[in-house]
Amino acid sequence: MSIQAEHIRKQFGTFSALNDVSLTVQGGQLVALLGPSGSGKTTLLRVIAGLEIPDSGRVSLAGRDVTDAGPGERGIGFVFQHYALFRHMTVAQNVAFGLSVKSKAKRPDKATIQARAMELLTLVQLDWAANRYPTQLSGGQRQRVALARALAVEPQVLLLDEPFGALDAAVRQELRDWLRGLHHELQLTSVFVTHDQQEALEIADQVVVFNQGQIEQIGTPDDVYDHPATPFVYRFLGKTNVLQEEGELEYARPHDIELSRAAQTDFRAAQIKHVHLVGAEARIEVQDMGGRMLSAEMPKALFRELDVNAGEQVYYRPRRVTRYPAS
Amino acid sequence: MSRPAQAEPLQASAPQMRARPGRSGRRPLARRLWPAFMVTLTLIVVGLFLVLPLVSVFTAALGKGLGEYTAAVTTPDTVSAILLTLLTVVIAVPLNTVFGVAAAWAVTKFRFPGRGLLLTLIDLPLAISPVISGLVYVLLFGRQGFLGPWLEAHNLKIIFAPPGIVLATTFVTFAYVARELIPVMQSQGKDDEEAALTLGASGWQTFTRITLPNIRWALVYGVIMCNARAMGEFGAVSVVSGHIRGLTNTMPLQVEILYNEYNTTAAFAVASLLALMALLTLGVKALLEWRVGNGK
Repeated sequence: MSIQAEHIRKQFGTFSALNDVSLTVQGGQLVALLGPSGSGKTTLLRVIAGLEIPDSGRVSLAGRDVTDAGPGERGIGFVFQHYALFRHMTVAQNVAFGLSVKSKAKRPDKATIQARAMELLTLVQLDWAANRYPTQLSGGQRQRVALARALAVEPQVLLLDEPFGALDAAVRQELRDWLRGLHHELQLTSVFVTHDQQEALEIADQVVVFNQGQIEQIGTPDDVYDHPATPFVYRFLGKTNVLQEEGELEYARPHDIELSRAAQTDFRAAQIKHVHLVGAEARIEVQDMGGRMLSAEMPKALFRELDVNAGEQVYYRPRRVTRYPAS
Repeated sequence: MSRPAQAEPLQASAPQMRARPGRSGRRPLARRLWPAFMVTLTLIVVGLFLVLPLVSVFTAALGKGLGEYTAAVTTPDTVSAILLTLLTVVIAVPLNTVFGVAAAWAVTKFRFPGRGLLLTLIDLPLAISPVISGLVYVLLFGRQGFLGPWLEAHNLKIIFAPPGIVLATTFVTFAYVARELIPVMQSQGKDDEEAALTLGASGWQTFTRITLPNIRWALVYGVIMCNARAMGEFGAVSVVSGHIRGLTNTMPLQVEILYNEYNTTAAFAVASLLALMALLTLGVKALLEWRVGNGK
């Protein structure tokens, strides 16, 4: 099911959270809304969900205008950053909740509801926890229950608000991969909000970059990383070396900075200030003749071959430079 | 390339626990006695100001024997005082529970103009003296009051009649439920309710199946506090009641009357009933806690 948000404006008091934002999501896609805090990404997600009412603009799901419909009438499922599991109900009761509140006419019988809840818990590999309470589960497990609960009512669209933000790094990575796999299996239109560009680049089909209530770029992860449309998108999507900022802006990525022991054409002189060895990578901070600090990255093995140390002279060349006109 | 620094020797990083040199590593005497002192002080205060008066109420009430006690609490005036207190509580507490939940719900789950004002108004009955509250009702509903003529024309008596007592008690105890609920609901946030809505629950289903269970203990505590205050309210009720024996006396007022007539034993007897009712509500609360604690 496709999502269409048109000319959404939303203000909280004097703060403009969304400034004429429009977005179309094709059915079956996994889309990331990426941006810093306060950029409007969560507000747009909540407007799509019906948890916030926009000051102006329309929201349509599968071509149907839902702007005036409540969150329970849009056929959406929502997953919260802090799980929002009902603590006085068991895991199974949580998952069954959406089915148990349906009107008498549409509500399936108890046996069917229970069966469906168990089916979903099996999908998220938590069938063994059916009679436990949320407080007895770990963060990652709770989020999987929250996902099962959201899927129970067979939504056409899945919306996730920083779903892994409250989890530690290892669990986050695990669930990220798992979500990708789940999406591949279910082909459910999904939109998730994140401020972690790594996460967006890893699992999304499309990345929507937000800044100060507006969308700066929409594209595939490759698009937004290799061809950032604006300096903000460039800087937000990865580490940035500022080669020039007077007039025209020149940026280069650390992994695009080549280093050489000997002088070569197009290589400029610099002095190594710092070397950090982080896992399988080497991060080298150099200072060029003009006093500018630059960061270079390369595999550790490559750095070892280079055989240079802090304090020594080295030569650098940016393999690829992105330029932006003077603002 | 940099190497990790050598680990610091263990002794240097151990926390310094000695206050005096020469001791063999035990905590100094002063620090061990301090908690014991605080506990003893608390027990003395609780004993003096809470337990002792409670015990003395019962000893004074039963001072002339059980026969006198039962006679004192079964006089017609006392019985009507008990009934009026119960009537007041039965109306004021449920009303304030509903108002309190509604007010707390509105204030914590929504943003609207006047929210701050509502919060202040909720606290108002607690800030002003109960006597003033009673006086306000007299000024509004009394014979020479703002609505006086209208009430007389329709033959409605509020002041110096049970309705006035119920109204005054309701006003004075309004804040108890709301103030118990507001911090709890505020810290719980809206996530659970929003989740329920996205799952298709109606407003009412969300309220009864999600919000109420989440606030149940705060609600129980608020109702108990409201109940205690409603039973024992003196100042406001004293002003609006008119002290008409057998008609507009609540138990606290009856205690005062008996005491002023030098009928000390009877006064304490009625007071002991109030104390028993309070202990009963606390007992119900403890029972609920125990049952829910064992139920899970």
